[in-house]
Amino acid sequence: MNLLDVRDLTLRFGGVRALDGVSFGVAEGSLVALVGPNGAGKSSVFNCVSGLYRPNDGVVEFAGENILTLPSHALASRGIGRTFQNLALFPRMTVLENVLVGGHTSHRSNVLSCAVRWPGERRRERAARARALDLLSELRLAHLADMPASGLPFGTLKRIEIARAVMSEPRMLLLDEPAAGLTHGEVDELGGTIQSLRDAHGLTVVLVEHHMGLVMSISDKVIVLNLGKVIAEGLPAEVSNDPAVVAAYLGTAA
Amino acid sequence: MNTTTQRSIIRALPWTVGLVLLVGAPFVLGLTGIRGLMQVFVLAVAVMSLNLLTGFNGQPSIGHSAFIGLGAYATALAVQNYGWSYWSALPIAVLIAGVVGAVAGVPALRIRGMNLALVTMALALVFPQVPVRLTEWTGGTAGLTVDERLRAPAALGVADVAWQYWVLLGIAALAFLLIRNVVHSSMGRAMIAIRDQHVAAHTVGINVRAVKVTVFAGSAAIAGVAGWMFTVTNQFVSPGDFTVLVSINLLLGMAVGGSGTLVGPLMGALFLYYVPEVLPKLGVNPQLTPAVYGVLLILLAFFLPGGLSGGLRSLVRRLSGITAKKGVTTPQPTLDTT
Repeated sequence: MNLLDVRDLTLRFGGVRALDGVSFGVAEGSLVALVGPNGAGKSSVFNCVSGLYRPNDGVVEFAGENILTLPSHALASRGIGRTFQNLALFPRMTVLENVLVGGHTSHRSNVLSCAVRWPGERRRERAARARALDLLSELRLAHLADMPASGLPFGTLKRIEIARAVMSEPRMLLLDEPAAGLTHGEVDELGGTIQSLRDAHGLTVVLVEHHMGLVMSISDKVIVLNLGKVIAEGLPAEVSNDPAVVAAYLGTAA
Repeated sequence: MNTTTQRSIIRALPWTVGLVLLVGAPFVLGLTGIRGLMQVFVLAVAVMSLNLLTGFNGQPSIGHSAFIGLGAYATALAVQNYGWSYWSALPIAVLIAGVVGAVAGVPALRIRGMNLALVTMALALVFPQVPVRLTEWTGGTAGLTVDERLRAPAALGVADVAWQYWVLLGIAALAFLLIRNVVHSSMGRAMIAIRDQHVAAHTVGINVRAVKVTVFAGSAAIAGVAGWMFTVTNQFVSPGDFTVLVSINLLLGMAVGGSGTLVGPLMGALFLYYVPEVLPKLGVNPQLTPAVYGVLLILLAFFLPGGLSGGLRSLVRRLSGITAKKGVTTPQPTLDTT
């Protein structure tokens, strides 16, 4: 049973077809990598699935529901969490507060109960804090909880963003280039972190990634995009030997 | 005693002392001093309401003079023309300002930044014309004097002015407390998230439109409270009290105090009231006050970008050294979050 089904996704920016009939499925509990050269449409797929772009055509079904008609803020409560390629943290908040924002959907409260601090509101806040601190220690960030997010090293910020996404208790986690800008050591660690998060939280993970070492070592399935089309799909080993993929990355012999 | 309780006592101490001093002020200060502080309370609530919207949620408003004016006029009309008590006029003032704020918040969903500022400015420009249009009812440009004053309960046996002072102090303190609670809650985090990272706010599941309209309405409602406080203090309203210049002054007060901070509006209010009071005594021509404001603002932007409250915080950190952890006090490079 697929958790995510993307069918015939087409997205145009003016005359440019960013996505041209993209279809693929993601099985529940799997770890799928979306790869392809720059401009292949990977981030566009992510932005359609997370509700930031409205495709011109096609269907995105998540857990059997067409999510393209939903407002973008409703997707988090359906169970879709994501991180961003260039980070989208809240710089003036502390690390803990950044993660707490991720718990927004499971922590629904109105202004008035926040203003007078009903006991129920306090309880929710305490529970959210405890959960956020647990997540931070899971990602070895607990010692930074009260630091302002701005000014921390890039690799740390990326882990904070992952913690924020997991805080929303997603069923599916979309990671947009999690390894970009990380050191070699950090990339090795990242693979382990992603796998242990998946196991601990029962996640389905889709990642866009250029770092082939990471992709090959952790993915169950690799989908290769080029010029807005899926050109190959399969196990990491199969895909890396696919002639179409080799041609897309290296070009064909002149 | 562990360090956390120690720290929270240290933190609560200046607030407790300040509040005790303010509560005791009517026994010490003369009438002028008390009246001055009442104006400060009105300004404080007004700047707090603006800061909630602009400082914490990132929605600029040059329209707050209109919301304050709505609250002030609603109170004056209800008390003077319809014989209501001040207390029964309070919910009306809040409701009217809040509803108009909610309506004004709807276009704010589509427009942001400078354009939103211009739309709210239109509100501020139109508002003073309304009482002029309805002159028979409102007294027009001459203004409306309210004969009745907010009276102290007879049982207390205190002067009405002292009672008014305590009521205003209580309301200002309550507004501060409620805003503090909201800012430190999930709602407050959502507001700041929208201000700093619009797209990420959507993705973590924040209903950006609902939060923005709610904050707009709430901010306007608090501005309505400031309007009620205005009428209690002055027993007089006129269109000239709620011009766009008032809005601009409030923005100035917010920037001087430190926008997006809790203490900032209090300092901004002190600034807005006492600087024009002090300047003539220093031999500065009162007509030059706006120019002095301008120079101060430029100096502030250079030397205290966090406003007075930001400056105070770093001073306290530098002096105390107790809470100062390494790395927290040093200025942080801003995060590139495009």
